[in-house]
Amino acid sequence: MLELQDLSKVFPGHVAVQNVSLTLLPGEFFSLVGPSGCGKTTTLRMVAGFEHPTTGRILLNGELLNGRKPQERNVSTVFQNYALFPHLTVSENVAFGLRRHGIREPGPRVAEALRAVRLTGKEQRMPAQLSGGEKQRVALARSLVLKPDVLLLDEPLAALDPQLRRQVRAELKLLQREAGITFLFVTHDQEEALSLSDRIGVMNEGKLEQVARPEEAYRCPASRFVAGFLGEVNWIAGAAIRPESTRLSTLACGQSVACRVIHTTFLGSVVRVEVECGDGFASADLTPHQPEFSAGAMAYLYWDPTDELPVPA
Amino acid sequence: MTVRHWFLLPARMVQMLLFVLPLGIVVALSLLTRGDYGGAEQPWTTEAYRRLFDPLYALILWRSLWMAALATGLCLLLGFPLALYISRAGKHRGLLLQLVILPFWTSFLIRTYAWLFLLRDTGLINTALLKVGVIHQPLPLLYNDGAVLLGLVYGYLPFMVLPVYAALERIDPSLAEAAADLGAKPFTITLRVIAPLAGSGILAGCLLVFIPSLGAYLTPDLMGGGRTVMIGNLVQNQFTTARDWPFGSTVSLALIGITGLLLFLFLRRAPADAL
Repeated sequence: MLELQDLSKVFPGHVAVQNVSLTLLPGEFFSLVGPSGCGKTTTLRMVAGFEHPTTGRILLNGELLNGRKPQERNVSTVFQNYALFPHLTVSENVAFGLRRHGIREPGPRVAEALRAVRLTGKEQRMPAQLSGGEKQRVALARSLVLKPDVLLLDEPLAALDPQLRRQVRAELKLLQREAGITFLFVTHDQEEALSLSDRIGVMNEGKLEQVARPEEAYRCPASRFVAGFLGEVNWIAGAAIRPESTRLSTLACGQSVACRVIHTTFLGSVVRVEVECGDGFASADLTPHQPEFSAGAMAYLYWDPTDELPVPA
Repeated sequence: MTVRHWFLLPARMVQMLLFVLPLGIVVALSLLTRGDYGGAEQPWTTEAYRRLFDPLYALILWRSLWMAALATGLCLLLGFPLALYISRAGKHRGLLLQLVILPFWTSFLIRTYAWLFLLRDTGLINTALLKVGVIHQPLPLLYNDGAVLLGLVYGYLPFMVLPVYAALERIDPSLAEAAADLGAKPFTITLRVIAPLAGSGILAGCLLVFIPSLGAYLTPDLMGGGRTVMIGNLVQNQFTTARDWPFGSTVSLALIGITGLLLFLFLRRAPADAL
């Protein structure tokens, strides 16, 4: 169990992390998500031991990690650029940590780790000969082979191309379940965080704004920032509604808001309709079999009050 | 001839006049007979090449190789940690690099004389130690192998530091973090990750120190006081005191040959970006 207690990190001239408290449960997939510069990577680096907290405590299974060197923490990091040793083969990369832990014959454990990430047969390749996805799997194997209590992942999918990213996401989740290791995953991609995680922590300007299950954070955001970061929000008539909960009609009914259609875009599963109403712009995602709205037409926005996000507008 | 060739003409002429022509003269000299007052005359002979295998000269050659190897080893031992330190010095890096280059602002000859003033029997170090009473006789700091080695290391250390620094600078800092994360202690990180990745810079530095050390003339002459003869002094000696130009030419060709062989071996093994 990893506990962060009132953790802060001050760099000369700016506060990177401010009073972050968080408890990660064993075997949990936890994501820290937020825009770049929000302090999520600094938080991760403090857990890894690359940065030292200005104030606050980090505990792993009840033991204080503050002041311990990276070598002395049973956590391991998967770096954004993977940081594979370019002069070592795949199997030597994976064996590196085992050797440092005094294991003379790392062969069997290396083979097992490479099998788990489906890299059997690539043992003697050099990192430069691998694809992006393969490099990432070597980085995972290199860390997982040490059986850390917590695996720290710093934007591990950011360097992959979008198609591959979806596939790797599923693999990562599977690997985490099989290994039963706590994952602390850092990303700026809210979709990634929502789809992978058991729980997410949304960070903004050094502060942890909300810790919740993905659906809960999406439906009941604790702040305007969280609401806007995890998805699009229409701020209309004092209410906050997601575009997929926003309905559009040609008739005024009940509490509807009059608007003018600006633009419609076919997005495959939905049609996105952008409208302008009295106090600003909004969008509604309609299913394709709903009536079509052409640009310039008058329409009425309405929604189910239970779909309103409980945030101050 | 295209325009490109015309632009290359000055370089070609310099190459011909300053490299190919003198080398040709040296080769020709090495194959002639010595003149009584220097110079060389007919008939053609390979006598000078036979003398090269005289044990006396083989010994000098061996000494030179040994001294150059020692100087290279010491430069690496001192230069690698220094380069590593500079590469991690943050905003002071520029200043520290300037300090490494600073000695080049003064002539090598003058700097070598400065060492004489420091090391001789009535020099700064011996005078100070005598005054303090630590010693009662001046220490023999000059005119021995140690002094020559000191001079070589002093003179060529920057040639080790600069390429090693350039190689260290290119290493992704997250690699050292990854190694620490996997449990490697700082010394292991340096030995197993940093040093191998700086390999091309280390190799280039070793070459840049070894080659001029092997052919060094000034340092062994001034700091070895003539007692420590290296191959460079042998060449000089043959052209001046001994007045044996053919043999002097042969020795310098042997030096070029050894250097060329080492360069060939180096370039065959090292990656293309090493120099």
